[in-house]
Amino acid sequence: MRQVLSITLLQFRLALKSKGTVAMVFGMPLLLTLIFGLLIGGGSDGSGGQTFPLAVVDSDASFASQKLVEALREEKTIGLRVARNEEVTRLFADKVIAAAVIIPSGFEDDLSAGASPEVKLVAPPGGNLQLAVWPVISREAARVAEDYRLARRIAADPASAAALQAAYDRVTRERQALGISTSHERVQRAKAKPDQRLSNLGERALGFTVMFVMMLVFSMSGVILQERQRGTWGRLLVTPTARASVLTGYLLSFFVTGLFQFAVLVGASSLLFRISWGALLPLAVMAAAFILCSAGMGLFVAGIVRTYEQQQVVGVLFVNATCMLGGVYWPLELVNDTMRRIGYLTPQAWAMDGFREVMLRGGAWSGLVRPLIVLLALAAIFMTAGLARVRYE
Amino acid sequence: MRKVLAIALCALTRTARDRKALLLFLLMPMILIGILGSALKGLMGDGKINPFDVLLVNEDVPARPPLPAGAPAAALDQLPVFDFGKLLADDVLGSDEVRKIIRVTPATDLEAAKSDVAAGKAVAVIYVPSTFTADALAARPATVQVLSDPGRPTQAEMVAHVVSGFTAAVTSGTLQSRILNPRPVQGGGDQGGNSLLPGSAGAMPRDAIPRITEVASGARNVSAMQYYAAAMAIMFMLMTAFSRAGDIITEREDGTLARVLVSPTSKATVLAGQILGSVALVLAQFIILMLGTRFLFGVYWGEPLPALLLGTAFALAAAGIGTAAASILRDPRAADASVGLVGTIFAALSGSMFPLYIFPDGLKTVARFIPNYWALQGFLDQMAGLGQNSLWLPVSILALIGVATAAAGAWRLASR
Repeated sequence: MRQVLSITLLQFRLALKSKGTVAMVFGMPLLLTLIFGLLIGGGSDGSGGQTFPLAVVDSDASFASQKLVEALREEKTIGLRVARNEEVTRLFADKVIAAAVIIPSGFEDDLSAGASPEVKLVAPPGGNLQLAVWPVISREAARVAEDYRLARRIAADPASAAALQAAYDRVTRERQALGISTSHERVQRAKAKPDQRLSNLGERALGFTVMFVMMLVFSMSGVILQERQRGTWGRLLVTPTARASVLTGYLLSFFVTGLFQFAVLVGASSLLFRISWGALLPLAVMAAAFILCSAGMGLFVAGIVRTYEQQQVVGVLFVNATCMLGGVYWPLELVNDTMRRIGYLTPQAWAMDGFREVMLRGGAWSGLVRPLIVLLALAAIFMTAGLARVRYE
Repeated sequence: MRKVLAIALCALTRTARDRKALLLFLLMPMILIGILGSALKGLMGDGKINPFDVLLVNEDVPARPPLPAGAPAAALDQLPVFDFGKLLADDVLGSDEVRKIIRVTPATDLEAAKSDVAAGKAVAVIYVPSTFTADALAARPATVQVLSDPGRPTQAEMVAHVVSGFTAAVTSGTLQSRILNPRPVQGGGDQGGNSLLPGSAGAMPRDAIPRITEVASGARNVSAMQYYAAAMAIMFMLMTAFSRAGDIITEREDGTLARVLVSPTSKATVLAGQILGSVALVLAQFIILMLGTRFLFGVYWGEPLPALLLGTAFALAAAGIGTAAASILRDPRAADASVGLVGTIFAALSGSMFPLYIFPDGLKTVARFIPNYWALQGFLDQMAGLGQNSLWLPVSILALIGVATAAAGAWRLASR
C-alpha cells in the first residue's frame, strides 16, 4: 500500500512540476472561460427574442421613404440599421446583415404619380433568408404607399410638410380605429420542457474544465510509454514491488491529479466568476466517473501507439475533436440531429449532461443515473482494453 | 544563394519525414475543419430557410357590403359579393413568394388543428372566423387569428407577418372608401374584392403598389465550412511557425548551428535559409490545406491567385513571428509551450474558434492587433467575392508584419 501511495504521489508531483504545465492546466481554462464566457456573447443567453438583421438604404430621402424606414424600424422582429448604398456589400461580407432594402430615388414621385416604384430586397446569392422579411417589407411598402397617397389627397396643402404629416397621422389613426387586424397567440406546447439553461459563462466554465481535465489525464496516461522508452519502467518492475501495486499506483495518480485539477478549477471559477457548481457530492461523483473514463481512453490510446510522442499528439487530436463533437464548445441543442447523435458517442456529451444536471437541478441521483452508467461502462471497457495492452517487458 | 536554398529545403524535408508533425499540422486541422464546418452549419446560417407547414381553418362566409343609408332593399342584389377568406387562401397564401416558405394545408376543425400545432406537427394554424368578410365590409372589428408553436418563434412571426399583410391590405381598401367617400365599399362587379389586395387586377391599378424585387448582393454567403477552413488553416500555420522556432533554438543548443558556421557559410546565409525555410514550410502547409479542403469539403477560397497571395503574406508574417520568438526564447521547451499558449490565445481572439461576427466591438478592436485577424478577414472577403479592393490592405499589413518581425528576429539571433 505504501508503494502504491508513493508512486501516486511521485506521479502527481511530476505531472505538475513544470511552470508551463501549470499555466496550461489551470491558467488556460480560466483564461478561455474569461474570454469566451464574459467578453463574447455575455449578454445574450439565446432565449428567443431574435431579430432579423436588416439594412435599409434610403436613396429618396423623402417624406414617403422616411415613413417606410420608420415603419421598418418599429417592427419588433427586425434589427434595423440605416446604411449608405456603398456600405451594403461590406455589411453582408461581415455578416452584420442578412438582407438589405433599397428604397430607390424617385420613390415618392412614383407614388404621387400613381406609378409603382421598385423596392429592392438584396440578399447574398444562393440563400433565401430574405424570405423571412419579405412579408414585412411588402406589407409595410404597400401600407405606406396607400397611406401616403390617401394623405396627399386629403391634406389641405400637399406641398406643406406639416399638413401632409397631419393628414398622414389621421390616416394612421383611422386605420387603427377600423380594427381589421391579425392576432398572434402562442399555443400551449403538449410537452412542457423545463427550459432552464446555464448562463453562457457557466457553460464555458464547465466546457473548458471538462476539456482541460481530459487533456491532462490523457497526457498523464502516456507516462507509462515514456517510462518504457527511458527504461525506468523496467527498473521499477525489477524492484520488489508487485505489478498490481505499480499499476494501481499509476492509475490512482491519474485519478488524483485529474480530481485535483477539477477541484482547483471549480474553486477558482466559483471565486472568480461566481459560478455555482451545485451540490458537492454529486459533482464529485460525476467528476470521478468522467476522470476514470478519460484515464481509460488515455490508456487505450497508449496501448495502440508505439511512442510517448505519438500518444501525446493523438491525445491532443482526439480530445479536441471529441470535445467539439461532444458539445463542450457549444451546446448540442444547437447542432442538427445527425451531429447530435454523433456527439453522444463521446463521453464528453454524457459528462456535460450530468454536470448540467448537478449545476441546474441540484443533482438528484435519478437524473445522474444515465450519464454515470454510460461513463463508468466506457471507463471499464477502455480501461480493460488498455491495461490488456500494457506490456511489462 | 544555393546555400540559403539548401538550408531552407532542409526545413521542408525534415518536417515531411516527421510523422508527428504531419499529424498535428495537416491531419488535425482537416479533422477540426470537418467537425466545425458541419456542426456549426445551422448556427452560422448558411443562408437557407426551409419551407414549413401551416394549417388554415377558413370558416369565412362570402358577404355583400351593407346597403348605403336610404337605398332600397332591392339594391342589395346589385352589390358585389366579397370573399376575403378565399382571397387569403388563394391570392396571398397561394402566391409564389409565400409558397417558397409556407406549405399551407386546409383544415376544418380548429381544435384539432390547434392540437396538431401543440404536438409540433405544424408551425401555426391560421383561423379566419365566419363573419370576417361581413365585419370587415361593415367596418366592424374583424380579426384573423394566428395560433403558433412557441418552440418556433421565428417561423411563427413569418406566418403572422404574411397574414397581417393581408389584413393591412383589406384595411387599405376599406379605409380608402371610408375616408374619400363616406359610403361603403363600391367595387366593380363580383371581382371587386380583389381590388383590395396588392398586386391583383381590379379597381386599384396593379402598378400602384411598390414592387419588391429580389437582387443578389455583391457579397456571397460564406458558409461555416469556408469560415473554419480559413480560421483553422491560419491557426495551424502560426503553430507550425512557432514549432520552427523550437527547431531553430534546438539547433543552437545542440551545437549543430556552430558546426554549420564553421563551414564557409556566413551567419546571414544561415539565418536567411532558416527564415526562408519557415516561410516555405508554412506556405506548403497552407497549399496542402487549401487543396485538401477544396477537394474534400468543397471549400471555395475565392480566386486562386488572391488566396495564394494572402497565404504567402500570412506565411511571411507567421515565419517572421516565429523567428522573433526564437530570438527571445532560449529554451526549446518554452518554445513548445508558447506554441500552445500564444497560438491558442491569438486564435481565440482573432476569430478562429468563435466567429468574428459575434465579437463585440471592443474585442474586434483588440483582434485588429493580431496578424491572424487580417489573414482571416482577407480570406473571408475573398470567399465572399469582394475582389481585389479588399485584398491589398490585409496583404500589405501581413507582409509588413512579416518583414519587420523577421528582420528584428534575425538581428537579435545574429547578435547572440
